[in-house]
Amino acid sequence: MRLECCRGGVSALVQQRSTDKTAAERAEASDEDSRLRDRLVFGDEDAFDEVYERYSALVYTIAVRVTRDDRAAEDVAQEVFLAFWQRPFAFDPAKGSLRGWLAMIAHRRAVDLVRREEAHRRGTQDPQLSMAALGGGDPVGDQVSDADTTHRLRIALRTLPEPLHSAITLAYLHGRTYREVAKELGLPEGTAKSRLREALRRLTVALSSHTHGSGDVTDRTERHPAAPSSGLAGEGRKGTSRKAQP
Amino acid sequence: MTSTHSHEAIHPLIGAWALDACTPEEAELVQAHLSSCAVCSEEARTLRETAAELGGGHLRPPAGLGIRLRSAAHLRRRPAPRAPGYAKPYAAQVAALDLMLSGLPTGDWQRIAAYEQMSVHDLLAHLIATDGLVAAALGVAVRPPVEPGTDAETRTVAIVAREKERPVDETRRSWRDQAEELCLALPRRPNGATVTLGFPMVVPDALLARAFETWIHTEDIAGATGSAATTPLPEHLHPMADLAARLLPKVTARRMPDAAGRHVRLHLTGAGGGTWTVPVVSGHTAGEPDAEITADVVEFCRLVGARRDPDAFPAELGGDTALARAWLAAAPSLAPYP
Repeated sequence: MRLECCRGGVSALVQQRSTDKTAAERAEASDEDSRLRDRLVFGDEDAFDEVYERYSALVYTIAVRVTRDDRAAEDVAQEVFLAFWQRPFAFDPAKGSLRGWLAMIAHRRAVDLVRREEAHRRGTQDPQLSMAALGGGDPVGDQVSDADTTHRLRIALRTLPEPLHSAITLAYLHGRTYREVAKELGLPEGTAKSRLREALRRLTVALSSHTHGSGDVTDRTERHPAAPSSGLAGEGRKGTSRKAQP
Repeated sequence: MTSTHSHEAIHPLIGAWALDACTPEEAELVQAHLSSCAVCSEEARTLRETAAELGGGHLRPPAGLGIRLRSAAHLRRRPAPRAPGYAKPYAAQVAALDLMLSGLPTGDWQRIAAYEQMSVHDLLAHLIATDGLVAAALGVAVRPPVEPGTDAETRTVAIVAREKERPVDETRRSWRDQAEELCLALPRRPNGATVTLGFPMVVPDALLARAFETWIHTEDIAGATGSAATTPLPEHLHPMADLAARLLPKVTARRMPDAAGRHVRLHLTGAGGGTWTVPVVSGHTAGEPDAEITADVVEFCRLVGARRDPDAFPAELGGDTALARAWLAAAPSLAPYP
């Protein structure tokens, strides 16, 4: 049963994504992350500055997107970096990249804040409009955001079937749990769970598709007629930020 | 029926988990499962990396944030003491040990951490005592003042007794403050002054010896309390290994007087390693090595710190293997204790 469950497409696609980055590249990136982490353990302030230089845009952007409040986003970003300085061992290089970990912590803190303090905002946003923000924003051209990835993500989001699009928007941008997603979209919880996983899976494939294709994640059978084939990411940032001026 | 802890129950949750869209209870179940399931852990890692991209094009944070963050960081955790280049390994070990101590529950300070009788609290007192000898030699006013001729052992006994009466937080502060003062008192460039730690050493060597001992005791405390620890950075490890290679003839000469004129070539592998040709008895200039030893640099330092059993030490031996074994057996004698 256990094997059966793992034989599906996800594992195969995940594997494709994993092998996309060569083992050597991954090992090298992981060594660099380990070293930065260790330098923080050894109280090296220059390492702290380096972490901030590399990842502040990533962390701040996630915080802005989710909180839609530039002051709150600053607070979230500050807490993410201070927490890493204070407890560097919380990051385990064996479990993934520093980039992925900081993004996770930023998103989690932003979502916690939204869930805690801004419940009243919920339901007032149009998921379609906010979704556009995922691929939008002004690339700053730093080390964390290569324009190619942003471009591929934008295309991938634009072509994601609407049911998956709505689910991932509600979860990622609005901080909804999958149960809340299910309720809002009138779905069984199991379906909400699988849509979130499927959406992420397709984006994963699209992001690794520079060697395989254009980044279009639609397939003919699943494409939702209501999903616009273009313009989602291009619809700009309206509705994404109340106070932030990106 | 599927248990909530089973792979079948957890695997479908991974997408929601990667998007922080699980309940906290479910997130805990997923995290616990990931440590034991390679399939889920690989998928979780990949989906997490994708989720990291979802912020889209990156926005620059406000300019003042970086500056505010630096000053806030100082308040949360002290950075390594400022120190000249030769003392950076020591400053780094002080910061790492302080980090570990900051997360230690008070009860853990009484755990036995080394020499079968010294608690975490005692070990820190021991570090205060030995650091104090170096600090005093540099003109820092230490308490109690160092009497001429006091050795590390005598001072340790006195400071351990004193610190037993004090709360652990105060011991930690005394140790850290003294380390900061010591680093402040260091000459920018070595000036030939010596400090006696078992034998006279120039100040940079004394600081390396302090870095070495602080690291070894940090590992002792990590072992006793289950705290996380990491090995020194390669650029700090290398001079520590070099110090060991330079000092070892002092102890091997005592243990192996018959091997005068003979040499061991030491290949230490791994980041921070290197190759040294070491006379068994100091004073003999390097010639052709009689024995070769290849070992991991971190493990070799632990052996020298008397934290590894020479008989079970993993090393490749070449040439006169009996000489190599005798030399490895003598190496832990460099550690001042026991």
